[in-house]
Amino acid sequence: MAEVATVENLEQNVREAMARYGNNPARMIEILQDLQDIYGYLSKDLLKEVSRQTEVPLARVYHIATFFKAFTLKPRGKYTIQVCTGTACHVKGSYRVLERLEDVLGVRAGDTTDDLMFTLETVNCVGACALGPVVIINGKYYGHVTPVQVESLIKEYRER
Amino acid sequence: MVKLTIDGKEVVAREGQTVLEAAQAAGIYIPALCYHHEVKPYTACRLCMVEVTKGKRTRFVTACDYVVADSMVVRTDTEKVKKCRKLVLELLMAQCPNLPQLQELAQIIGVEEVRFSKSNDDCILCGMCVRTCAEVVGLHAIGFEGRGFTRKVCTPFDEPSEPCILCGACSYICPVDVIPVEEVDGYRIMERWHKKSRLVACSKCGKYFMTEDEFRFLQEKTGLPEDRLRICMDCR
Ligand code: SF4
Ligand code: FES
Ligand code: FES
Repeated sequence: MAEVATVENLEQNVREAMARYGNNPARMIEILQDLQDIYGYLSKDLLKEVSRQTEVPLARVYHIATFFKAFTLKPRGKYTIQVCTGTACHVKGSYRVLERLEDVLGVRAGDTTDDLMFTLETVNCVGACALGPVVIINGKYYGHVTPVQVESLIKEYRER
Repeated sequence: MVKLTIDGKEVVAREGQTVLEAAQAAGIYIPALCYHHEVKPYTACRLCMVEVTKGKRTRFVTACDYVVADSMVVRTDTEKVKKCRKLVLELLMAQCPNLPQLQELAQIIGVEEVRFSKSNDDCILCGMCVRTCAEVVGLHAIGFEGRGFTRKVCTPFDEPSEPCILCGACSYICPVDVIPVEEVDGYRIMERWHKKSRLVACSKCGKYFMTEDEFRFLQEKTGLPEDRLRICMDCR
């Protein structure tokens, strides 16, 4: 589980992450990766602290953090919804399921709802093609998902 | 001294000069949107592509960062070069359809229509502002966000950038003039970077001449006494 940030642990975790890479700001990517592992995402305060300690301008740190897909600047939702957009699932209409999910949740793939309940993602083939379109919610597989089912599925998770 | 030919013309250039600089000095036009001698070449706009032959090898290079060498043969006027330029400009115009600067360039290099689907950006992502802020002013107040399709130039988190002093250097350098600076009611406002700063009036003539943020920046940088800094350039 991700650590909750406080001023003190931010200061310390950044210091430790930097020390692991010889206090070399050129290793920014690794430093950010380690910090994302700790907190689950890269918060504004965290990036500012990284900039302060590494003395790399915030605009640079921000560019690096937004450049790589592996970094996320938003906390992740309680539930991660992955929609398979692999070939088989696509052919069976997964994009329509995805569209419906985007509508119902009000976010685009890659984003998290404001209430931090759901993070919506796409994945490419999870090896369950016969079940396509496949949707996975926190590791639980749903097969043959239709756009019509989406709303009740989300409702079910919201009410948990 | 380096001797080369550009479009058949013998040109003498300084060691370490770029092809673009050598061409400009020789009065040969190469379109270039992301180059300025005050900042490092960045090769973002790709408009300055030329053909370079060294020995037996001919290739396409960006003139703004390619360094001259003895007996190098540069061509800026071949069909291939012209075609390449046009395509690059066409792509830029598809990204930013409403920029008069690009339209002017289109006249010069002969782009008649844009065949690609248009988006409605106003920034060509040349990075001039970003580099000027970092390299000339030394503040790194703005930068890039994201990559590829969603890449843009903004302040960190698209919020008022702390280091920005509203000096306006970015606005001055922007080749397509999309960073407005406004002065209203004693404030300078730069909407694009979400910044606003009170203006300082000259203690002699009373004219506004810099922002309070600039004032503090200069004070720190120069260590000059406050009363001297409060006098504008005209009154000094
Ligand atoms: S705002 Fe202007 S100077 Fe800055 S990257 Fe965009 S086009 Fe270039
Ligand atoms: S394509 Fe979706 S599981 Fe294979
Ligand atoms: S001027 Fe050379 S790539 Fe823009």
